[in-house]
Amino acid sequence: MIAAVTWVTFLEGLRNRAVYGITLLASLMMVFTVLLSSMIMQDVGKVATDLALSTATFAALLVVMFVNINILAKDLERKTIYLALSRAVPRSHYILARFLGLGLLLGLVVLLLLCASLATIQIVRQMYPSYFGMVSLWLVAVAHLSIFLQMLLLTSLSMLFSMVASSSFVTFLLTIVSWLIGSSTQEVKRLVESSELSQIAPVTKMVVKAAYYLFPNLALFDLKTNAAHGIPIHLSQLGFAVLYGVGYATAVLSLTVIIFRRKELT
Amino acid sequence: MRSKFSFVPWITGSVALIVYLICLPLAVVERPRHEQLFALPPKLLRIVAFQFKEAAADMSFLNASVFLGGTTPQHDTRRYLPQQYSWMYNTLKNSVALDPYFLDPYYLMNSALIWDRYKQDEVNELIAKGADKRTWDSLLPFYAGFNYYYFLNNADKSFTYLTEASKRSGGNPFYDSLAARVAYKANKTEFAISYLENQIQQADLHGQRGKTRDLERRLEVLKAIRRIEIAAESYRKLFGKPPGTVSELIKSSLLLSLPSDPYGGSFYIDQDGSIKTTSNMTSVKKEK
Repeated sequence: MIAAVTWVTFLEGLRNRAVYGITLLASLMMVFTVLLSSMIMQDVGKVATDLALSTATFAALLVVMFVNINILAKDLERKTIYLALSRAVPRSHYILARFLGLGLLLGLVVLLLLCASLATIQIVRQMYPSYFGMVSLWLVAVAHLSIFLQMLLLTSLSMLFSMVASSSFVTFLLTIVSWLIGSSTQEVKRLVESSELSQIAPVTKMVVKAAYYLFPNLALFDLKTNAAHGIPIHLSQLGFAVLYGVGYATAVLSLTVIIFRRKELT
Repeated sequence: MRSKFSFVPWITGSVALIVYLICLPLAVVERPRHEQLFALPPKLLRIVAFQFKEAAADMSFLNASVFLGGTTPQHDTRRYLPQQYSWMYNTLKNSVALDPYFLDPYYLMNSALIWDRYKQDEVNELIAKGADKRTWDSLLPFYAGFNYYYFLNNADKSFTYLTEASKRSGGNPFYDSLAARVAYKANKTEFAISYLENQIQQADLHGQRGKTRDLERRLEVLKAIRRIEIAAESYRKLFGKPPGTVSELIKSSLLLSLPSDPYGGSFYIDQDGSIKTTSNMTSVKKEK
């Protein structure tokens, strides 16, 4: 039954027109990357890699925000959830299957984005072979994998928010705020703890620390600099990031299941 | 009714298009100059750039690059206005704060700010930091080393970065030669000699003997200078005063013969007591 719901979720995502719009946007941005590279003096390969990976992050984020959230919200708002639950699918299985289906969709989108990124970077390499720098195509692929993990984590958070929020718009807002905080929490914590800002109130420091532990540290999954400059990543660093992501997502999904079990569907 | 007014949207659409095309070139908002020259503090920028720091660094660099290309320096001084330099400095500083590994902003800083003598200390400090970050690159340590010596009169740091440039480039004789020259200028002749000897030995070990001809010539002249320095030091101890000329050293038998300068110059004792050559370590005659 889990496999069936997973597959249905995946197909539902594919049928969503937003996916095609996002793919078109990503393609246009990749073309823009090639055009922009001609304006760079030395580090052409680095700029092409930055822009390709930024495009991939942005497009994957749009998929989470406009496709994944929509699918879940539709379930609850249009009561299509009864179709599955009436067939005696346990609620925990339903959440897991939905998550796996959305993960499958994200996996496909990120794979397409990886192909587009590699093609863009290769085109730039052909155009400016002497200015390609230290770009590592292997690390570009790893960076895409970390984008995928990051978006899976965000999807799990969006599922939690959809259980507690009254509408899909609120879920959208909570998810985007989580992404924004999660992307900068490490930087803010470092700034607040630095000796330069000793005049900061202890309460502010505590709030920042709380946010650091509460929200996912998404900067861990940002490997653009490594890929663009060929800076190697230690396996332990990557392993810890994966473990952190899996741990956080599992905790959030478990909480989602607990809330969903107690939720009265009217 | 429908057929009678069906042409209305076509007319309104066409009129609106004409109005749009006429207004487009006129509808440019000219922002005041000081507003255009605003740059955010780098630490704040790192936070608000979220996961797009690298793309923001690229845009920051492009912003400065386009500004530089589209702005004409003042006619009389051939320099930009102070606030324009300040904006360029802040924008490029932002770019390297967002991505400290990005080469282009350092490159632009070096050509547009250092050579225009704007905040050379701070700018070269940034270039040196970039050199420390980009551990595979020999260009930035060369820039930093060159600027430390040529503009900032800091031979010690210059020597450090030039030797680093040589190391990273796999022993480029150009960097080695500059480093030895800088060490000599900083009154560290012995240091320069041992550095060059080591570099030549390394080149030998890597089967690159052919590339070291210039280094050997520089080593030869430095060794000659060192011999005269030692003799001058002994002269000072013996007579309690520094020698006025090199021939005084020969007359007092502290120097057996006058060493020859492979660059074709002749050695002399400068007013500050340092040993120099008229060739200034560059060829003054054609080699046979």
